[in-house]
Parts: sequence; structure tokens; C-alpha cells
Amino acid sequence: MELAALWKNPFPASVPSEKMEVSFLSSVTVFTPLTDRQKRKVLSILHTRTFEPGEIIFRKGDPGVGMYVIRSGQVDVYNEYPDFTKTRIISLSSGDFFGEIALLNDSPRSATVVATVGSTLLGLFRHDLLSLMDSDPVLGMKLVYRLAQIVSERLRLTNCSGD
Amino acid sequence: MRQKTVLGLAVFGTCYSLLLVCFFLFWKLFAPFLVSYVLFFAFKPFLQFLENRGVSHLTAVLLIFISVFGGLGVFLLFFIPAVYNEFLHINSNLETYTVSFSSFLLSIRDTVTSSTSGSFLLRHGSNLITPTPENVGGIVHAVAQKIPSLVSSFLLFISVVPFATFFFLLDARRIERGLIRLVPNRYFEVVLDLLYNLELQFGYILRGMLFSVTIVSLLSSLGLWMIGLDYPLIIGVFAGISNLIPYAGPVVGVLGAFAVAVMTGDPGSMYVSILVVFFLVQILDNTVIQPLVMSKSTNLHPMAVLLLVLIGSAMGGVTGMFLAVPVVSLSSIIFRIVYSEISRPPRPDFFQLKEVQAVRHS
Repeated sequence: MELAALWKNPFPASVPSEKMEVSFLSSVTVFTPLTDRQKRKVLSILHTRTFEPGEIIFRKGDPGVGMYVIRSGQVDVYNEYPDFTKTRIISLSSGDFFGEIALLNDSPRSATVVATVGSTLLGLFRHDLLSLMDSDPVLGMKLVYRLAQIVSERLRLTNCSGD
Repeated sequence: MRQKTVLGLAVFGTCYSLLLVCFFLFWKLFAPFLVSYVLFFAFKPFLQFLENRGVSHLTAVLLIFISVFGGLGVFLLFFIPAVYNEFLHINSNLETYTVSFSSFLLSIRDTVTSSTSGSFLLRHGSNLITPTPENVGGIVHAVAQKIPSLVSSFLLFISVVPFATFFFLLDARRIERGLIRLVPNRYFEVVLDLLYNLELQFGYILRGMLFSVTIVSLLSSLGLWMIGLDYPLIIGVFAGISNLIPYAGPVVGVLGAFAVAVMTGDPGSMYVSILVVFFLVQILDNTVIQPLVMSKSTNLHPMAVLLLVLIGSAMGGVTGMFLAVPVVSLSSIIFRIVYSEISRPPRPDFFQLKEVQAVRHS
């Protein structure tokens, strides 16, 4: 930790360049159906995390509590096997997202994700989504419906690739 | 259980216990902030309600703050004269109350004297139950000496609480996010999960307590008013609040009502009526209210609850008795999540795993 962090205000008054962040969310498939006001609301419940190159974001089997959107950087998604081997499934970059299954149920993570370069991720977590559904049901329903569409589409693609 | 898990739990348990001891030792320092957080938690749904209707965060906070504390100020303006009148009434009847109370104590002494073990007790502690004017004067003097410090503590408390509540309402989200940002990536999701579960449980406990206090206060006040006891509302609210202390609380409520009956010189049948009222309230509380509202907040064995109340009493007096069960209820969540994290079986190092398949780019 840098020494300057000791006297730096850890609670900045506002999120830097909110407009830029809203326009970024417009490029992410999950958030495209939302209005700008709704995107700002979603932005207020997202957690920004930065990862070093080679840092594990989560491992297969970890308890999952939410999904991540890649704001900048690149990550690799791996499957791990009991015979001490791993397979790189896919590489994801800015605008992509992963871990969305954990938003819909509390099953363990189904893959391992590692940052390949220094990356900034935006985390959307299950409890925040549930609170959002309580406080703003219209926005919550829009978001969950979009997530269900994406998950079912990915399931369909997985089934097709298996044929 | 693995040695590493046991060691991890022992270290965590020790640190956590030290933290709790510090909290109980310096609870006076934390009390205004705890009360402010409870108030913030109670007002949060209204804040969300206003924000969802397009009201800006600052306006919503100001609206809530002004209506609650302004309303409280107006209420006090009307309430203080009423309380003052009540005290004037008590003051004018103080002599009667003292005589009633003295004769009650003397009757106890006579009963105790008539028994063999009682005469032993009297030899060693007769002053305790001899209500001479000197004794009563000493007590009044001691209480009067404490009044300035009590008033200054109270003034400090009521000036800190609105201030801290305002900033919790205004900045809680930022503070929470700022603190979460400091958590290392490795533990981030665990801490987030822990905080959410604690918030959920805290909500259950708070709502359960508020509901229980309101219902028990109303029922007790109604019952005491029906049997004709003086000051039914004050005793009812006192009984409702003391009812939050498991097992000991209802007894304290009964004793409060008995004290009023003694001072106002009510007949013996009044004591039976008081017992019947509190018995009926307790039946309702234990069969309807507690299972309905408290089932989610505490899932502890009655013996464990009793033990906790005793430990709380030893560590923090009445405050400790109030806080013991909620603190343990929240601690059980912390330990459950920490245990599941510590006891997870070891996994091979990810970077030592052999990669066996080609990359498929998005």
C-alpha cells in the first residue's frame, strides 16, 4: 500500500465521470435495455475492483455471490479437472461479463477466472440485485429478464456446440 | 477437523472476543453511534421510497431529517409540560408515597423478623430496610449529586445522535463502499456476503424488537388502565422496553407496577390484578408475538439465552442484558461464514495445473 493512501479520503464524494460510466454500461449487453436513469441507479450498486496481472478473480468451487463486467483489461476463463489439469475456455475483454449464474442462484463457481493483464472490473452482486428488485421492481424485473435471456442463450449455444 | 481450521478458528475467536470485550468496556463511547445507526436503519426504507419517486438523495435526507427531528421537537414542546405536570403531581404526593412505601417496607421487616433466619438478616443489614428520614435523605442527596453529570451526558448524547444520524443517512452508502473498497480482492466476496447477511439479520432483530416493544407496551398499558392502576402508560412502556431482556424483563415490569401500587396505596387485590395482566400479556407475547417476529432473529436454546443474559449482565449491566442476545445472534453469522471459509479443503495451486487444451477466443 502506498503511504499516500493513509491520508487519502477513502470515501470520494462522487463517482468520477458518471456520464462516461453510463455510456460504458450502454455497451454491455446486460444493461442495454435500461434507460440512462436506470443505468445510473445500477451504477450506484456496482463495486469497482482492480486486479493485478495473473491475479485469480475467483476459483471453480468458490461460493459465488455475483457477476463481473470487464471495464478495462482482459481475463481468461478456465475449467479445472480432478486430474490436476486445466483448460482455457475463453478470453474476455472490455465490455464482456462473467459469473452471471451466481446472480440467479447460490451454487459454487463453475469456472476459474484469472486476470491476464491489469484489469478493472465492475461487480454486480446478488444481494444488491435483490434489494434493487425490492426498491425498484420495474428496473429489477428488466435486469433479471435480460439476465435470463442471456443465460438461456448461452445454454442454447452450449447445447448446439455439443451436437 | 483439520489442525489449520482449529488454529484459524482459535485466532479468529480470540480476536473477536477481545473486540467484544472492548465494545462492552467502552459502550458509552459507541452508544450514540449505535443509536444513530439503528435510527438510520429504521429510516432507510423511507429514504428508498422517496428516491424511487425521483426525489434527489440530499432532498430526501433533508425531508426525513426535518420531519423526524422537527416532529420530535414539536412533540417534546407539548410533552415536556405534561411530564413536568406529572412530576409536580408526584412531588405534591411525595409525602403520601413515602409513608406508603415506608409502611410497606416496615411490614416486610416485621414479616422477616418473625422468622429465625430473618432475625440473622436483620442483625447484619437492618439499615437496608429501615426507612428513616436520614436514609431517605442520603439517597436523595446521592441522586441529586449525580444529576449534573447525567444531564451533561444526556445533552451530549442527544446532540450527537441527530448529527450522526444525518451523516449516516447522507453518506452511509459511500462509507460502506469506501470500507469495502479497502478489503483485499481475495476476501472481497466473503466480506460482502458477510455484510449482507449481517444487515439482513440486524433488520430482523430491529423489526422484531420494535414490534415486540410496541405490542407489549400497548397491551400492558391497556390492561393496567382497565384494572385502574395509576400511570398505566408509563408503566406499560417501561414493561414493554424491559420485556426485551429475556426472562428478567417481565419480572422488572411487574415490579414497576407493584412499586406504583405500593406508592399509591392500592388494596391487596390490585397486586393480584397486576399479576393477571402481566401473565396474560406474557402468554400472548410468548405464543403469538415472539414466534411471529423473533423466530428469524434468534435461533438459540432457552438455556443459552439465559446464560447469555447473565454474562451480558455481568459485563455491561442492564445494557449488556439488552445487547447479549442480538450480539450473539449476529456473531453466530460471522462465525458460520468464517468457519465455512477456513474449513474449505485445500486445493492444488492453480498455476501448477497442466493446461491441456487450445484457446477459444470470444
